[in-house]
Amino acid sequence: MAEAIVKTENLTYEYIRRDAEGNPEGVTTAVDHLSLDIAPGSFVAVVGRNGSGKSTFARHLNALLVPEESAVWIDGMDTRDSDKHLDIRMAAGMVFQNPDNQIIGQVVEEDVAFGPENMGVPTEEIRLRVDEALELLKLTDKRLDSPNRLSGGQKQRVSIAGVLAMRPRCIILDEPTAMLDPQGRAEVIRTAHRLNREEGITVILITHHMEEAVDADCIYVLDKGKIAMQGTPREVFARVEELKALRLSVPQVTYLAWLLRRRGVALPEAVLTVEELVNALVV
Amino acid sequence: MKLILDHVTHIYDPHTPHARTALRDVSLQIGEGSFIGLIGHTGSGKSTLIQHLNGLLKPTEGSVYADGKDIADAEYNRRALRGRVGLVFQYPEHQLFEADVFKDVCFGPKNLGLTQKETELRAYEALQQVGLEPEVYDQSPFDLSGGQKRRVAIAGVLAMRPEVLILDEPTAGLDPGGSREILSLIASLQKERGMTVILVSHSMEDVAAYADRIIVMNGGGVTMDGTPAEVFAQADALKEIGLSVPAATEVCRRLYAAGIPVRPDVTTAEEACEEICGCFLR
Repeated sequence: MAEAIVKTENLTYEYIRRDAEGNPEGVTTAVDHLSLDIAPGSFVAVVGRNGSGKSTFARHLNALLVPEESAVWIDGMDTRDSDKHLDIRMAAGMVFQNPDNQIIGQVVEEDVAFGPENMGVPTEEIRLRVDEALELLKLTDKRLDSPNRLSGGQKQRVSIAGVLAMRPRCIILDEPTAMLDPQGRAEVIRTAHRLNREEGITVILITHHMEEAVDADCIYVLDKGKIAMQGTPREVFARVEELKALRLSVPQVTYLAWLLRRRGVALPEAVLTVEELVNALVV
Repeated sequence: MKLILDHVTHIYDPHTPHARTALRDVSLQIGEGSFIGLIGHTGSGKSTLIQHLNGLLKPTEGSVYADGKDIADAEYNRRALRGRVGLVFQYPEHQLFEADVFKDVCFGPKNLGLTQKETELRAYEALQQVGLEPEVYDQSPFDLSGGQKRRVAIAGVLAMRPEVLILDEPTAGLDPGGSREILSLIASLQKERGMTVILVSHSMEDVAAYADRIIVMNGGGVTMDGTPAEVFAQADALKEIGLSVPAATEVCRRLYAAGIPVRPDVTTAEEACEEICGCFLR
């Protein structure tokens, strides 16, 4: 395996809870001795209930949060080294949940140019990168539009284009589809897979829509800041009851196949798509 | 309470260059005690429709009747109507504002002009109904988890004792466990109190599991209206307007097309399981 693009070793993050008067009440461990390696070029999904530590984990991956004791390396760079923060943020770009909170430009292409502009990229090069990012996200015909006239899915694609213009090796998507309708959701997930497949960009997708994790190479299930399960979607989604106990679920077709298997219908252990289930039944 | 929309059209910013027709000639009857799923992609008119049901928006053309009375009439008590038709907006926890949970839930009934005693009685009742423990009543709503905040917001509407409860995507942003809890809470309220529930949702699986009637909107109009089985039987028409059917329905449709004698109009995983077992286990 090539050197990990993301590596964490015993990553731990604690914060102090305070009462209404501001007096400390106790300590919450949001991420608890989490160690993992993510290979370059992979598509990884991180799932977990609300409050499981997913977002805190994500914020460590581009040095928005920096560990005190343990360590995080992005493309070999230690995030505790503040001289490296700019390089780390160029290597690992982050897209958040609400598109309206991350778009600042008046015009789509201006918004996409914001990142490289701030990095001091020469104007000609910015132009090149913006063109390329818009092309990859299929937004070229929207380049002169105002972002607030776009749909939620299109806005999230603009956010991704903005990150892409910084030429990252890795993109972290923190619940990018939570505020989108099913069409917008599908649009964003399709785009993430295409960038992963065609451009070789590592994708780390944080979500609690289980359907979105089906095509990942690997799923990490977080609970109470720890890795509760990890494996391929097939391995993880075979554990229907354990996932339910963690307040998660499996895609409905996986659940249906699980019900059928329990009743004695001959089926493989985890079925991930409608096609698979139909093909397994119609022999 | 019975609600009727009679040829309702709604145009935002009429007589300006930005005029946009959000509802086109919609006629609907909403009877008592039903659980209605309202589906349609973004911009199809769902939010505009539900805001007509409690008088937050007025029709540009047509009328809305509550128990036979036109709610646009000058003498109609629209303030009371907003208590009888409770509306829980998307991300309702963004509208919590009081210093503690109990005060926040009191806000609605207080504004209906009820006495202090009656207001507090209803707030207690509503907080119990949504399953919040008394320990949190005097906490700041902002210290609660996302799922708990949403319960507080729903309690704030329930405290007005609505006859019709409308929820706009009540599970958005919640994890699957939190979603299951909120939906089963709504289903039990609907059964126990005989309330009418209108659930706006993007999840076909959720709508299929809970609703007894599904209304499908597209381009500002109602394109389908029927039981889940009737609506999801029109899978191709749904796909054409950017919607889908539950995965369980899709599986049975394809099995049926392949000559296996399952009912193609099942809508839940449990139903599909029974149908398939009936064919494969003899």
